[in-house]
Amino acid sequence: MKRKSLSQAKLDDLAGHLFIAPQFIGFLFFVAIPIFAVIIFSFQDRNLLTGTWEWIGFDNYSFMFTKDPYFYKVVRNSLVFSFGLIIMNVSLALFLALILVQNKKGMVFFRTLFFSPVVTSTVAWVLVWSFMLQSDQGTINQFLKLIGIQGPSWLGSTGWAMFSVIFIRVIKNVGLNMIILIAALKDVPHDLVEAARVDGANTLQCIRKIVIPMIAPTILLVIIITLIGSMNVFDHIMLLTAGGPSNSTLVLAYYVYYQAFLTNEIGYASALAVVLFLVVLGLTFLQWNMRKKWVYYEQ
Amino acid sequence: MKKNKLFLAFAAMIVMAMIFSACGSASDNAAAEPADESTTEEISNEPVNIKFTLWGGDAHIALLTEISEAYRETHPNVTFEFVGIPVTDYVSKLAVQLAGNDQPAMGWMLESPALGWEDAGALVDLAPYLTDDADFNLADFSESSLSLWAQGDALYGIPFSTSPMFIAYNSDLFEAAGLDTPSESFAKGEWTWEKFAEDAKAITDLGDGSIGYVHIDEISTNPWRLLVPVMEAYGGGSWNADGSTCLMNTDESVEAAALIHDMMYVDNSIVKPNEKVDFTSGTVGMTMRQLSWLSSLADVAFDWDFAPLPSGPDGAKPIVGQAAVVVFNASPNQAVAIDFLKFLLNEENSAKLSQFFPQARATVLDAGSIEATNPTLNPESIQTAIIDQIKNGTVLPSHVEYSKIDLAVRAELDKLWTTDVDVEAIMNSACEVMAPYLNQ
Repeated sequence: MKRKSLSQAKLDDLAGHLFIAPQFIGFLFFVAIPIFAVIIFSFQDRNLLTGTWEWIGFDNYSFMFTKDPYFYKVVRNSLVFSFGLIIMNVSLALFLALILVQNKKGMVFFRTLFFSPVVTSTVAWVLVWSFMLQSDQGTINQFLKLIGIQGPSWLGSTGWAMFSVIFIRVIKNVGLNMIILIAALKDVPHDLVEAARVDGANTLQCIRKIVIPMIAPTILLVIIITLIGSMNVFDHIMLLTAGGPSNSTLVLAYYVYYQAFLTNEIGYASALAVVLFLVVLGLTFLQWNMRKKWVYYEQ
Repeated sequence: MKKNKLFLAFAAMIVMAMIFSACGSASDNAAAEPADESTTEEISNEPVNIKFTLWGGDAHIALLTEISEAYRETHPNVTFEFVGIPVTDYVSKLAVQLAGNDQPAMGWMLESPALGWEDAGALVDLAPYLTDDADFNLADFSESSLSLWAQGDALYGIPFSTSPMFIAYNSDLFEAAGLDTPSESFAKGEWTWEKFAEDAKAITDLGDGSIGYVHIDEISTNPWRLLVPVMEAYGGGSWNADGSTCLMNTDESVEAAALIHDMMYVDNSIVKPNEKVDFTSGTVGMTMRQLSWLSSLADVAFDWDFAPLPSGPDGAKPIVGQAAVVVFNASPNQAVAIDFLKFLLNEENSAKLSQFFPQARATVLDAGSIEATNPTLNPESIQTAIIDQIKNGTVLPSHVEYSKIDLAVRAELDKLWTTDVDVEAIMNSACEVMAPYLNQ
């Protein structure tokens, strides 16, 4: 009897492994191996054109931290981009979610309206915005001119380019975070809000003291996925500014591309990619550990 | 627990094996070895597929296919695969393909990254196969047309396009502004960069939304194509011939950059960065282009023509954009690729290519091939703006460290594209950031 049940356990074990095998093999070949390869490449001087390479230890990292004239600027740009994006994206998503969670007429239309940029092609989106943000002929500056304001060169001046790229990306992706937050808001028990109202709380107090704490785990999730996406931003930078003007929008992910495919320094690009990975991991880890301070209703 | 450890160890072994197989071996560096001459002397009769990369469109691929079919009549064992890659991604995607397992054997190569690729050993030295080949007749190419591709006795590419830059202009707007056209100014010997600036301002001053000049690319991402011709004509330039000295802070280069800056921000006669205006709209007076682009003007609703680049205080300095056919060192089929290169760029096929690309071959140029293959273009303009410029043209600047110089200097030149700037200070800082990458 015991022997039969052991055999059944083995069979269950085998079945379990077989079920996860497709996912595991995919993960191994398309995630684990490339990540390990990048780490190993980062210790090599590797030329993409000739296929030659040699071990150079920590030289790539040493160059990065002591000699690369762009590295610290690139890290600073990446952090500015990420924090700017998170603040704008999450606040706007929360604001829209609080308005559009209500079951009033027309809400579905507006939810669809704000979500539609998410499913729009990035290239098309960027193309339209690059026309709108032209310094002389752009729609935005033409409008500003009507009310007597001379608009800046949104993508051509170092002071405005980063803000413009962040803004364009926020409008593109805010709908996704909005939908996630709407789903969380729908789970907030009505009786809690009603009880607070009976006790004399106004709308702002209800939001601040009840709603936001109740959806804090979702807000944390939204912040983490927005952070990871923002640190890996490439398409918007490539298509809008190519890192300019004067490298003011040169961020880590684009710099990795530049080193790998424009200067063919695969080893150094891999070292930068490892640093990018560690920065994202570190910031995510930090947020995850800080959740205990402000997430009260984690399940 | 033990079983889990065993499983993890097995997985780790697979990962390491995969990584090291991807790494190859530092010593087993077949890709960088020069071509085995013994294999190139005799072309194998085994089936061979030649993967050929290019950035051209369907018409270019159709012509190459036609030429390759003619080659296959005598080499039926060879098949061809023409792979189009957008020009903006060409170098990066090509580099990735060469690092993979299905390397292209040969392809087109742009002028700006050429020296870097030659220096890295990515290209096959063609000199041993072409120098003494009487049928190919390498002497038919002028020395200046091969200068970018020749390093000492080595020769890393044969140009299939030696295309001078010229000023294409909207004749209707010149007439509306009461100006001589650039061709007329050139004929009178008055076609200078100052005249170019005056004409651009006059067209802008028409006040009907017209503007004097639009750059080929976004000026902040490719300032070289506008600044280099002007700086050269003024007696300056980007860097000297051996790539060891920056010339952008010479008085001549500063004067040239100031002219362009003032056109953009004082006269407002050059389309500013991030503005979307196209020459084909009919609202732009001039643009700097090359022959292959002229086909896009087939259906425009205005009269147009083209003239040579203006001259400067240092005289006329034609600037040539060049592209060559190269054979990649990573290719396993170098012998066939070199043989096809000889066929593709022989006199007969060069004449066919000239319908899209001006050829450096003197016999093809002198035979009137461009006029014959472009019957809608003004023959006089072809002569003055293209053929006369090819023999004396300077190729756009290239450098072993071009991509690093480009990133560093563009960031400084971006400061030019705003009002009230100190042009000299910007050009000085451009040279400062360029210095670490110049040849010692």
